[in-house]
Amino acid sequence: MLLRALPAFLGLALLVTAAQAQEEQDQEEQTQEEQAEATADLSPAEERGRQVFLAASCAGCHTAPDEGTFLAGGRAISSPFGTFYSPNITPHPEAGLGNWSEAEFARALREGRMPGGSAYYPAFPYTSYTGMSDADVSDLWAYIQTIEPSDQANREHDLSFPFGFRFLLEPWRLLFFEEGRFEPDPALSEEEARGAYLVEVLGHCGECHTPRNRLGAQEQDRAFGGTATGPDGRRVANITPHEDGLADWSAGDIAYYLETGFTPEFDYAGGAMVEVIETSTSQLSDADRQAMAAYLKRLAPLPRE
Amino acid sequence: MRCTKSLFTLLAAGLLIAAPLAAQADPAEIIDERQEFMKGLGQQLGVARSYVQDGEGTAADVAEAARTIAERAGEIVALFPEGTGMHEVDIETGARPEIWEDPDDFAAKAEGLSEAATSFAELAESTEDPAEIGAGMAALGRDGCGACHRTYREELD
Ligand code: HEC
Ligand code: HEC
Ligand code: HEC
Repeated sequence: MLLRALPAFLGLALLVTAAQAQEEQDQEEQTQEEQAEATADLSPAEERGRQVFLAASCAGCHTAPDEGTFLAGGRAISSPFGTFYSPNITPHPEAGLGNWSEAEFARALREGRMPGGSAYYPAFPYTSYTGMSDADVSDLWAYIQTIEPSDQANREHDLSFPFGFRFLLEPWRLLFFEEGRFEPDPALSEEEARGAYLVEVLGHCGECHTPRNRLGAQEQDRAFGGTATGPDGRRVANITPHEDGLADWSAGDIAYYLETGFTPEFDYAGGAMVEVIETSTSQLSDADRQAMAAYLKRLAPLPRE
Repeated sequence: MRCTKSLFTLLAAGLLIAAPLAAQADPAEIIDERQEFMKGLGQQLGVARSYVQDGEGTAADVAEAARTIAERAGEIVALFPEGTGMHEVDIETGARPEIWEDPDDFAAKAEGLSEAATSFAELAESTEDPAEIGAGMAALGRDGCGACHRTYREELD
């Protein structure tokens, strides 16, 4: 049973991202943006934390649609295994993270473990966040403290048998989860290394842009090569500098797309990428968008699958 | 002379009406037509981008392009007759099946484009500041084009 269920589990992270993107509502996003902006008087650490928060698009998953309370969770993320409900991550002492230590927060994000030690589902993209720097985790934690606490109770995931058993995640982690801080290739310039960190770790761009093998793990030799069977069975673009990808795009074109959604041919982004642009990349600094573009131009060019 | 001219006008008008009807019969034609139509929307936005980035043209040109988008948005729904979705035809199209699952919402998104483009036109009529117009263009992309593409458009190969 356990072994038979395993492959199904592996596709989980992928499917979850898909459902998330599809359920998106414009209304809700505007509220989220307003709320993220409303926090005006932030200390430097809190403001840096807010930047990390935007680059990692935490709000997209942790706020319910239709005017859901900011970061109070309860967003339904459907998958063939059942429905996940994102938890409350406001600093409320009982309902949220109010009684957590910073170390527990860091462990959740980078090791994918609960304070009690059980594993999280990879629907929470800690497989990418594991690379986060100590400083970013610490700033992010400072920013989380500025959020209005909400007493909204967490809703249990509604998963079909046997996916509700967290211990099944252990073999998955053994095979596919490598914990550790991000270390950029020393051949990269400072700007490219910053871009690498934003793309690989915070932005978790590979969650959608890298194809997965039969067992649902990302194929690293095809990193960012796009796929015909991405989240929800939809196509995801090749973003390597190959002619099947972004070879014709200048770094400026890429940065402009991440800011506005417009391609050099005046097409507009579609599918799950619209949400990524709205909740994350459009809200970053020009320097960060340029860094991401510079890194994408440095990727190994790959043809389409 | 006068008579020939009005006859010609009449014929042209007839053709204009007949063309979309004829196209509906053939998925390949309608898909081609709507993809060209979409590219046309993009070209109108090119007017705004040239102004913002290269200082070409005037804010009035931008406003005119925006009005064109606002008017033409009303044509979108008719370009997506049933039976022309991506899993239904053997032609490359990025039209998702959701278009026909929730036609009212799809129509609302087309209407949303018209509204967003009208606001943008009003902006370009009230200011010549490239930064403001640039921000307005981004908003039009997000609220007009992106709001529809996120659900109803899939990337082509
Ligand atoms: C793609 C969706 C997604 C994104 C993006 C995301 N999360 Fe989550 N997160 C989840 C889900 C789903 C869970 C629940 C996982 C489980 O129950 O195993 C979760 C769990 C958590 C938890 C554990 C809460 C608890 O009560 O145990 C914390 C803390 C958390 N997320 C913080 C964050 C932060 C901070 C970010 C941004 C850096 C973030 N998340 C981004 C989906 C997401
Ligand atoms: C939730 C899934 C998802 C995530 C996460 C994601 N993307 Fe995308 N991306 C897509 C999809 C789907 C497309 C195709 C868009 C379309 O249909 O126009 C795309 C398109 C793109 C394109 C345009 C390619 C083209 O040829 O039009 C770029 C550039 C891009 N993404 C960069 C990024 C970067 C950088 C990140 C990380 C910050 C990222 N993406 C994260 C799903 C995603
Ligand atoms: C009401 C929905 C809707 C709105 C609004 C919309 N689009 Fe589209 N767009 C689509 C769909 C659906 C397709 C896929 C058509 C196909 O491939 O048959 C598409 C395709 C495109 C294409 C690709 C055409 C090709 O050659 O394959 C471009 C470019 C484009 N849209 C630009 C825009 C721009 C720019 C805007 C905003 C000014 C916009 N669209 C607004 C639904 C919409």
